[in-house]
Amino acid sequence: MTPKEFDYVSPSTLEEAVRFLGSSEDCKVLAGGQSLVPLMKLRLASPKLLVGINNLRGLSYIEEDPQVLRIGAMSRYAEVLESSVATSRFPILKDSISGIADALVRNRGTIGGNICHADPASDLLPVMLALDARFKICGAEGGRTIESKDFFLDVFTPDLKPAEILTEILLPIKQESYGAYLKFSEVSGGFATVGVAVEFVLKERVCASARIAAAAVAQTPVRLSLAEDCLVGKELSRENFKEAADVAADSVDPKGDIYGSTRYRKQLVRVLVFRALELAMSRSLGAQHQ
Amino acid sequence: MKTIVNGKPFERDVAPRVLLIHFIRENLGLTGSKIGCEVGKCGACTVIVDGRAVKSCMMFAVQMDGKKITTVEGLRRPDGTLDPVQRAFWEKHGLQCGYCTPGMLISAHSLLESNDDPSENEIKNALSGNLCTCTGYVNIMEAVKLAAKMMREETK
Repeated sequence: MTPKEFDYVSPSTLEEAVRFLGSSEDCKVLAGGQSLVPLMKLRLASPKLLVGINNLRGLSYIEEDPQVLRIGAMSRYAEVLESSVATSRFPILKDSISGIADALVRNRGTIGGNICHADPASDLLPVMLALDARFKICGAEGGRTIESKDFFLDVFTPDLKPAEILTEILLPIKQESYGAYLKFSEVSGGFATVGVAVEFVLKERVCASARIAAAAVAQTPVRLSLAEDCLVGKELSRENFKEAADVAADSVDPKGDIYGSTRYRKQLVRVLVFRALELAMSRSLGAQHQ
Repeated sequence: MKTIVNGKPFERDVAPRVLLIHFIRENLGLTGSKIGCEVGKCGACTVIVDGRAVKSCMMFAVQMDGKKITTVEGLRRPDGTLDPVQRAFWEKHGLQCGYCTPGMLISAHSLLESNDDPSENEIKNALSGNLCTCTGYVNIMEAVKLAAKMMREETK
């Protein structure tokens, strides 16, 4: 299986990369390539120019500021999993990334590549929505920052112009914030039949804010805001987790396919929302005991 | 492009669309790495690039300019003897048909380079990208544990 012919460049600066991207009608950024290369081999994608960004310096880092965790877009999945800063601050990142494909793919695939691929079944994207991530983007006309909730426009369609590159993922650090991601998949490391990310902030045991987001239930990763409303302002309990789970299941209308009918996926949403909230809650209790 | 494979430098002209696995097998003639599924599922084509085990059917050869690659042929010690991982697979019979073995050896070797006392779960995680449809994995797990023991004893 060989892709159609294409040209390949491997610039060493971001400016050069952006210039190359602006130079061709039909070009693609090649990051880790763990989604793009298979697509090209199947000839579902056949760009004329590939702009490899693996040799760009300074796009692979994980840094903690007082209020935000910064992840360079070219950080490999494995690098995030190996970062105690990232996984202790955000256990939800480990929940999600450790379930993506297998160790070999995680050695090569990148966080930025996953986000720009905008696969509605990606395990990472609901986590980005639940954590209220922001994305830094570099383009020909300079830089911009976009909220994750505005970034995913449609299936495999991020809000990126052809000559733009995602450079950094910003995860706000909040006190007393707890989260979890759970998915159901046919096989270990497989795509999510449904995946659910939850995150809430507690203030004196009352839920000050909550975010719930799901993968593989719509054309894009989606926030389940009606379910979030069941939690905010309340002292969290199994009863309101159950209510939130029921509301979440009612609020989605996933398409059925060979891996699960609409009804089956809605039931998965119900179960996974409840379990993810319980897991996040157990983490909050664990933190109090420390 | 210039690359170093198993410690030896190579300089080759290569079309961008050539996959790394095809380059390694057909251009360099190193046929130890196998083509199993060619869609990134099976791990028979696993090689080490810049210190990490990756699937060489999911990369292009041109991306290897300036990189160091280790294939299964590169595991053998300079004196011609087998590396502990290879010896352990031999001892524990960690294979049946042998087609997945080059990938298994590379993934196991890569794990033991950074962790010479891995837990059962750490071994399973490291081999999660390598499929074997013969053995049921039991002897492979045993082989990796033995290889870890051999390496620990060597470094004592």
